Amino acid sequence: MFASLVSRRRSPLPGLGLTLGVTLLFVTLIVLLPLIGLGWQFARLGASDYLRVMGDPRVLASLRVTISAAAAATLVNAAGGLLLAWVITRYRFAGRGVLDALIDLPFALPTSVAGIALVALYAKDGWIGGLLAPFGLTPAYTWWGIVIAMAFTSIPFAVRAIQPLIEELDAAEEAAARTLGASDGQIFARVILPHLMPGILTGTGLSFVRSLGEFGAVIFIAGNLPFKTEIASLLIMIRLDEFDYPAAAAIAGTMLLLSLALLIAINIAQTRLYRRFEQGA
Amino acid sequence: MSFVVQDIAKTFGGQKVLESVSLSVEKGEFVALLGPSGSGKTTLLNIIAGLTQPDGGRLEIDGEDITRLPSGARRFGMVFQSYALFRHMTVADNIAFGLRVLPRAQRPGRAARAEKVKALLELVEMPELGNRYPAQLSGGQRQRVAMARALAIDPRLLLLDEPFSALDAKVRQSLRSSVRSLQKKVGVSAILVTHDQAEAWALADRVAVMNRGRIEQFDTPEMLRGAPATSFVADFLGIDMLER
Amino acid sequence: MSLRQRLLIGLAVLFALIAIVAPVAAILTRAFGDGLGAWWSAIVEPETLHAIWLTVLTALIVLPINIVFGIAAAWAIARFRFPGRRALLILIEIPFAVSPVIAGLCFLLIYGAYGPVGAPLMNEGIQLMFNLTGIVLVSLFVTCPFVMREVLPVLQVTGEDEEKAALTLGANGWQIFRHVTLPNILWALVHGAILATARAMGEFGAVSVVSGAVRGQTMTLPLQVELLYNDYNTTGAFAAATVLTALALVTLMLRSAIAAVHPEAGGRT
Repeated sequence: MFASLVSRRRSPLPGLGLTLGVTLLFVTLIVLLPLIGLGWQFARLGASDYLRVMGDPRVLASLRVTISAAAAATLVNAAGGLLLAWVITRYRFAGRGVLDALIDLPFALPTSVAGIALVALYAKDGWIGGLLAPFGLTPAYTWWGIVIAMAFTSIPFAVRAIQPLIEELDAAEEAAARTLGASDGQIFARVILPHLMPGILTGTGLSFVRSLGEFGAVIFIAGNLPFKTEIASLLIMIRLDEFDYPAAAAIAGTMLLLSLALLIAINIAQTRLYRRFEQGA
Repeated sequence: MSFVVQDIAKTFGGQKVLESVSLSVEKGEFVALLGPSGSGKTTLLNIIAGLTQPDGGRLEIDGEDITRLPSGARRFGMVFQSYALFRHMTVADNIAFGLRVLPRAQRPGRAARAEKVKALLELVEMPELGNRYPAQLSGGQRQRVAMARALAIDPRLLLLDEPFSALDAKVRQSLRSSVRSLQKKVGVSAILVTHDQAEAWALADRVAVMNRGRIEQFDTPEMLRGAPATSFVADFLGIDMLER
Repeated sequence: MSLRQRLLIGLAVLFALIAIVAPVAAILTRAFGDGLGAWWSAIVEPETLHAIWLTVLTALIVLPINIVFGIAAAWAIARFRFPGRRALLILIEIPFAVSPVIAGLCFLLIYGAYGPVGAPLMNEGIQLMFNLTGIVLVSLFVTCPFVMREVLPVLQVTGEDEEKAALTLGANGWQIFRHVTLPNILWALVHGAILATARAMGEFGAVSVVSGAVRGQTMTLPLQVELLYNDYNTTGAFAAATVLTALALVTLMLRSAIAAVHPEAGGRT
């Protein structure tokens, strides 16, 4: 078996040259060069230029708005995602299949469509905005609107990351806890939740990264007031329209590095969590 | 037809898997490569089939050097351990595959292919099952389809990689004799890879006992049992004698 | 069913209704609020029709390139070991980690009139950004992982025995692909192609950076939705949105259908 595993190194199958050639050509033109484009512009900025762009109070405010709204949206999704994943996986009820399929709708729906739909819902004359208006609450054109848009576009990440772990839960562990006298709440908190942690971590992490970069769905509902409801992606767009490419690259490079760092951290944390369970088992 | 393996060597990642292995197969002869797992027998078969390139040595068929010939050009029919039947093709299409992929000039027409498939289905005693898919067959039937598919290209050599290992003991017994009689009927030389001595004794004219990338002894079953050349051969066979 | 189960199901359904169903319902009521006739005349506005055409055209160009690339990449990665294989895999997945506006910016910085690749080409009279080429290029970027991602796992589990068998039977590379590999990966390929198409037709942020936003010329349908909305043409915007919503719903239905018939091909997002 060892031999057959290693023999794949020099596979007798044809096509390596052709397929690898096509792949490298495509990846170079479509992925690598554009990333180099950003990296090149980013690297050309001197430290002082970079600090000047990033030190701009408007930029700092946009980062604060983006990150805080993304964090809030992620919290909503952690709870909502866990609930949806649990109900879809554990219970059998009419409409379950439809519910399961609907989870991916925010992925499939173009973000500009989501954007105008959310405004229509949460503006003062919208179905939900109208319900909230008597209480003096109007989510549209505020920070809350941004949170709603971010939560909408990233909810599938949370659900889909948690779902497989719920499917894999070992019913025997729950039964064992029950025979030992644990209450339902204790079983959930002490037996089930720890098993779901890798999924919750991945799901919320991906949801957060997606929220940081969300643009289309947010700009319609945000109001886009500088210092208050202006997200970083929009500010990049504004700098581009002003032909201030270095400033756009500085903000974009910072956001991209932040996202990549987060994704790498999630990856590492997840591997560690899984390893702990495997060794413990 | 005579087939010669000469000084074949193969190293994987610094580990010698085959060391100067030599072997010959006479016309119509049935040879078994017998040995424990890791002895190199499957690698040797893959090299013979052209699926793995040797680091050194030579393969010859009727004096023609085929060491660097691509697998498909060797015209060696191979029966894989997992049978590797094409799951999306009917039994008949599986058997006809080797004919269908021939260059246009050599490719038999539709009628000729159908004729050949029919003959092969009769040969493996499943004339009614040409329209079935592999998933609808029993393990034994699958193995016979794999045989028919390998025979369809009029192979110069038939290669069998543990062809009975996926079957239960009962089916295994009856298929053994049918494989042997098929091979005799077609008159093709065959090389079988197995770790099961009973299988080697039942099928092979000569058996090469392999250990750690080398052939310890290459002889008839009677000679192997009567006069084991090395202590490994004696041990390897002796254990089996006690079990029986 | 226990009370708690009913309660949790009720909560989940309510959450999904508010979070996911209500927005779609809002689109439909706004689009059809003034009657079917108003909806239809909004759709057949020349600008909107042109946007639909441009969106379809983009998908028609992007899809074949994506399929060829996706299969080639999956084949190379699944069937061969070569140095840099892992790095290649990461590079192909990176577009999922780059947000839309930043993706568009990357293209502008390299292929734009001031970019290291774009500037020399511009001198030759070849413009890559702010036109259909730009839209196609960023669409290729945002959809690049889809096909490869669906096909690769199927190639890995189907293994290469069948392909080796075909090889010993004398098949050449194209014959092996056409008769043995393609039938095995077909549904995963279709699945990936559907996802890539939906994404290519729906992409907003990245396309809006590089499209140049020329009215009636470089506006894809998602951009047209924004344009109409900012023009206070609400019916027009929501009518255009219904087309994209229908596309999203069809995508989901096709996915569910494929997952039901060919579970091995219906990987999750």
